[in-house]
Amino acid sequence: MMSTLQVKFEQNVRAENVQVVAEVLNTRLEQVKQIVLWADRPVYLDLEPGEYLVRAQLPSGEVLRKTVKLGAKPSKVILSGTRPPHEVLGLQHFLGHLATVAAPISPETLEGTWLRLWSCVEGQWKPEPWRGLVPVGDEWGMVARLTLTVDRVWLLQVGGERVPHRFIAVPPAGQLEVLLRGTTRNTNWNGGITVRVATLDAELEALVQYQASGAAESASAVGEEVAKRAEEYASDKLRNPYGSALGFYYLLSRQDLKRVHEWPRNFANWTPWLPDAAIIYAMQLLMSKDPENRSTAKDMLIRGADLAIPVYTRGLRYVWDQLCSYKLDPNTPQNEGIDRALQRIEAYAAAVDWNEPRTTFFGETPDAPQPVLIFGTSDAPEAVYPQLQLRGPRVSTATVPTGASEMALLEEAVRGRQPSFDQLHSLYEREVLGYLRARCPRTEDAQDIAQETWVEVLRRIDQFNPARGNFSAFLKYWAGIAALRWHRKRKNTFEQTLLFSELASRCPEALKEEGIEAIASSVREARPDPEQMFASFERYSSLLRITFKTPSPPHQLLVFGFCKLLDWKPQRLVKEMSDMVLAELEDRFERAYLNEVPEERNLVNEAMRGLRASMGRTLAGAVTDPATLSTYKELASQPIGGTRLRDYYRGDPEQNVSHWVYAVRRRVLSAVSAQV
Amino acid sequence: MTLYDAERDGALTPRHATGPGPKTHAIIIGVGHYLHLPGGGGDPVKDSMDLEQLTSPLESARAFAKWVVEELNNPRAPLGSVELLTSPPIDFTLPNGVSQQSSRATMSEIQMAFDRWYERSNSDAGNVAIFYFCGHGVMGRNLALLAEDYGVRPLAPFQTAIDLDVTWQGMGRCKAETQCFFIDSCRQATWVMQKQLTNPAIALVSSEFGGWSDRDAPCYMATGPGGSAYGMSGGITLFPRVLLECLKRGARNVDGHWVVTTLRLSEAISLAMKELRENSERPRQMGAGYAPTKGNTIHELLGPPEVPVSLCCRPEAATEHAKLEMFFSSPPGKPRYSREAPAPHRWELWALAGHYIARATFMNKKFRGGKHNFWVDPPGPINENIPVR
Repeated sequence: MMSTLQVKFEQNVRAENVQVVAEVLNTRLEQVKQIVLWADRPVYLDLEPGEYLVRAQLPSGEVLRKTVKLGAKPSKVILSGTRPPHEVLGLQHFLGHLATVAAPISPETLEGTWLRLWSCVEGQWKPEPWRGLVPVGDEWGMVARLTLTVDRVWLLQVGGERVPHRFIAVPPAGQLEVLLRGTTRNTNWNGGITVRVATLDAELEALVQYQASGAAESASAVGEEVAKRAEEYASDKLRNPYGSALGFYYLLSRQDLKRVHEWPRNFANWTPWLPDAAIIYAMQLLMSKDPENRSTAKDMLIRGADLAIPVYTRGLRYVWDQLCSYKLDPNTPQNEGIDRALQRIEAYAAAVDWNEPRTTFFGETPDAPQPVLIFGTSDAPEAVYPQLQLRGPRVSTATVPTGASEMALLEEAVRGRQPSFDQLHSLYEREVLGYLRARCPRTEDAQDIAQETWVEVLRRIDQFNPARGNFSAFLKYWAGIAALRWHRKRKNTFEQTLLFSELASRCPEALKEEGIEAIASSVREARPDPEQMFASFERYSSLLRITFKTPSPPHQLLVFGFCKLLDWKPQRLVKEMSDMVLAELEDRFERAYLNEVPEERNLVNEAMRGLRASMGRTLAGAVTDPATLSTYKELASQPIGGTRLRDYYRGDPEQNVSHWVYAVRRRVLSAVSAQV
Repeated sequence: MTLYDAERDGALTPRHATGPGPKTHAIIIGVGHYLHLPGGGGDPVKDSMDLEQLTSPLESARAFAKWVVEELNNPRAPLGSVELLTSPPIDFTLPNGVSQQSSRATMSEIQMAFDRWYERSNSDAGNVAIFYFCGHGVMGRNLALLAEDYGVRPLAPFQTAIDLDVTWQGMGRCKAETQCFFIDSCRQATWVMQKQLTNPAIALVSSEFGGWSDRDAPCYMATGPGGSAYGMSGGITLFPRVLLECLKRGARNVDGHWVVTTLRLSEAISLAMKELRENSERPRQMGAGYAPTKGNTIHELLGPPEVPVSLCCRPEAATEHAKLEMFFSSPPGKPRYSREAPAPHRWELWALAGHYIARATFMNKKFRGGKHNFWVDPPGPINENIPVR
C-alpha cells in the first residue's frame, strides 16, 4: 500500500526559476527518487510507508536534510536553506557567491574603485551609461540590479587605485545583478575585490555554479532540465540566448549531437550578434566528422571572432584552439579571414583570465586587451562608484582559522620573502592598530606601538603555530606584549595592570616573555583597588570587553551596556526599549556605541561576538545559572533574540533594570579582582 | 619500468585482474625534485616563477599508489597495471613483499610510461584509465605540469612540461570510456605563461579534428583556479588526503553495492574541499568541459563507508556530563559506538553509514537523558544534537 509524501523547497530568493535537485533515500541509503524542486511548488511522491531521508544540495554547497516517517497518512517535508546576511543578498547567497563570513573590505580598499559598462555594436565598442542603481552594501557585499538590452554583447569594467582594470563579459540577459565583495584570494590579480554577475534566472545560474564547483551530479540533473528547454530557448517564441547558450554548451560537452538537432544553426542565425552562437554551431559541425562541415565551421569561427568577444571562456578557448588548428592544417586553404580572426583573438588570449567561466580580460579599453595590470581612477562620466556602508561592526578574522592563501604567505614570510610579509602587514595593519588604539591614550601612541609590534612579529614569525590559534590572535598577542612594555616605560601603573590582567587571563605563557615577569611582580605588589580599576576602565574600552565576557544573562548585559556604557537612564530604557526584541536591542546597542567611538570597530566586534551568537540560541541552551532559568521558566525554550525586554520584568521595571546593572557590575569587579 | 603489470606479475590481491577483459590502468607521477629550480643542483632556469623544491609530492604519490595497488576494487575493471614515476625515485613495496623502485619523473620517462599506459587503456572500451599528477603546475591558457627536468632547455623551458588540457583532449582518441585525471598541483597564473603566444608545454597525446569519443573523463583538481595546493612539509598534500577519504565517503548504495562513481566522487570532493576552506566561497574545482558526464563506476567498497559525525547534547553544556551511545536502528542490539563521560567537547567520530539512534545518559541528576534518531549518510559530515532536559 502506498502513501503520499509532499516535499517542498522554500527559499527567499528574489529571482526566477529557483530550484534544487533533491533525492529521497530509504533506510538502506538507496536512492528511491530524484526530483527537481521549484521554490514554493510542492511535489507529491508516492512511496511505501517507512522512514526516509530527503536531501538536496544548493549551488552554494549547503546541504539540506530532513527525515520523515511516512505512515498510512500523507506527510510533508519542507527543505529550506540558511538565511542570507541581508535579504537583498538572497540570490548571491543561494548561488554561493558570498564568502562564508564577511571578507575584510575596508573603505581604503574600495576607495576609488569604479564600474563601467560597455557594449559592442557592429564590431565597435562604446561606453554606456550605467543601467541601474549604484551598488551599495556592507562587508558582505555591494549589489545592484541592471537592465540591459538583449541585442549586443555587454562588458562590465572594474578598476581602481588598487584594483587592476579588467573587463567581465555579461551574460546575454535583460536583468542582472552585480555583486562586489572583498576577497583574500588572488589579490594580485583582483586587488582584493571580486565581482560576480548573475542573471535573475536562478536555474541557469545554478547550472553555472554547480559546474564550476565540481558538484557534477547536481550539474547533471539541472543541466538535463536546461537542455530540455534549450530548443525552446533558441526558438523564435522564447528567444532566450542565455538559456540557449548554456543548454547547447551543456549538450555539446556531452557530445549529445542527437538532442541538439538543427537548433544550433537556428540559434546562430537568430542571434547574429552573439559570438557564442556561431561558436556553438561550429562545435556541432566539427563533432560530426563530416569533412564538408569543416569549411562551414571555419566560417562560423571566423564570424565568432570578428563579431565581438565570446561571452564564455570556453567559447574563447574553443575558437582560439580551432583557428590555430586550421592555420596549421595543410588541407585547409589559407585566407586572410583566418589570419585576421587569429590576430584579433590572439590579443584577448594573451590578456584573458582563463580561470573565470565568463570571459574576463585585462586592459584599458575593450578593443585593446593587454596582459599587464593597469591601475587608476576613472574620470569617465559613465563610471559609478560602489558605496560601502559598514552597518555593523567589522567581522574580525580572529574567529576564522588562517586560510590557505594566508598560510602560503606565512610560509613564504618564514622563508624570508619580504613581499609576502608586506602583504600580511597590509592585510592586518588596520586590525592591529584598532586593537592597540583601544589600549592606549592616543592614536599616535597606538601607531608607535604598532611599529614595534610588527618588528617583533617579523623577528618571531617562525614561532607562529596554527594549531594554537590563527594569525590574527598571534598578532594581538605580540601587540599586547608591546603595549605592556610601552606602558611600563611610561610608568602607567593602571594601564599596566589592565593589560597585564587581560594577557594573563588569555595567554598565561605571556608571563614568561622578556620584561613581563618584572611587570607581573610590580602589579601583584601594587594590588590596585578594584573600584579604582573600574573607574579607570571607564577611560578605555576595557570595560566593554570585560563586561561582555562575564557570565551574565543576555538581557542584563544589554541593559548594563545601555545604562553604563551609553549613559542611558533606566527610565528612558524602560520607556523606549521594553517592547524591543533582544536581537534588535543588541543591534541598536552596537550601532549606538560605534556612533560614539567609531574607531573601536574591531574591539566591539570581538567583545560582542558571544552575545551576538547567543541571540540564536534558547535561554536554556545559553544560560547555565539555575536561578536565572527557574526565574524565566516560560522563556527557556524560546530563542533569546526573539524575547523582549518586557518578558524579563518581575515587578517594577525600573527597579529591575537598576538591579540588573548592579548585578553585572558586581560580576565585572569580581572578574577583574580574580585576574590580578 | 612498470611498477605493476597483472600480465607480468599475476594477481597480487583478489582485486587484481586475472585474465582478459576490461581492466584499470593507472599512471601516477609525483615530482618533488626539480633539477633547474633553486636548490635543484642543475643549471638554474632563467625565470623560476618563484617555484621551489617540494617535499609533499613523493608521499602523496606513494599514498595514492598504495591505495590503487592495495584497495582499488572495481569488479568490472580490476587493476591491470600501475606506472609510478617520482623525483627523486622511491622504493615501493608491493603486496607480495617485492620492493620496486619508481622511475624518475623526467619528461622522457613520463612520455614512455604514458605511451605504455595509453596502449593498455586503449585495448578495451571497458577499461578505466587513471592519471594522477602531484607537483608544480602553472596556468596560462592551459595548465602546464612541470616534469623533473623543467627548464633543461633555457630557450624553451616548457618543452619539459605536460600540457594537461591538450593531453586531456587527445585522450579522446583512447577507447577507454572511463578516464579519471587527478591533478594535485597549483594553478597559479603567471605572466610567463600568459605571454606565451602558443601553448608552450607538450601534449603527451595530440588531439585531432573530430577526435571525440563518448567518454566519461572528469578532471579533478586540487585547487580552484589561481590557487595554490598545500601540504605539510614532508607529508602528503591535502588533496590526496581528501581524495582518499572521498573514495570512501563518495560511495552510494546501488542495489546493495556501495559504489563510487565519477559523479559522486566529484560531489564529495567539492563538499570536502569546501569544509576545509573558511572565509571563502565554494572553491572552483574544474572547468565545465572537464566534468564527469556519465557517472561510471571507478571503485566499489566492500561495505558501507565511514562518514564523519559530530554529536553533542542540546543544551551543549550537558555534553560534558553525558555518556553518549550510537545504536543501529535495525536490528536493535549493543551500541555500535560509545563515549564515556566526562568529555567536554563534541563527540567527533567516523561512523559507518546507516540509520542510528543516539542516546545520552547521565550519572548525575543535573540532566535527564534523551534519544535522537538520525541518519549517517555519505558524504557527510553529519552534525546532530541529542535533546536532553
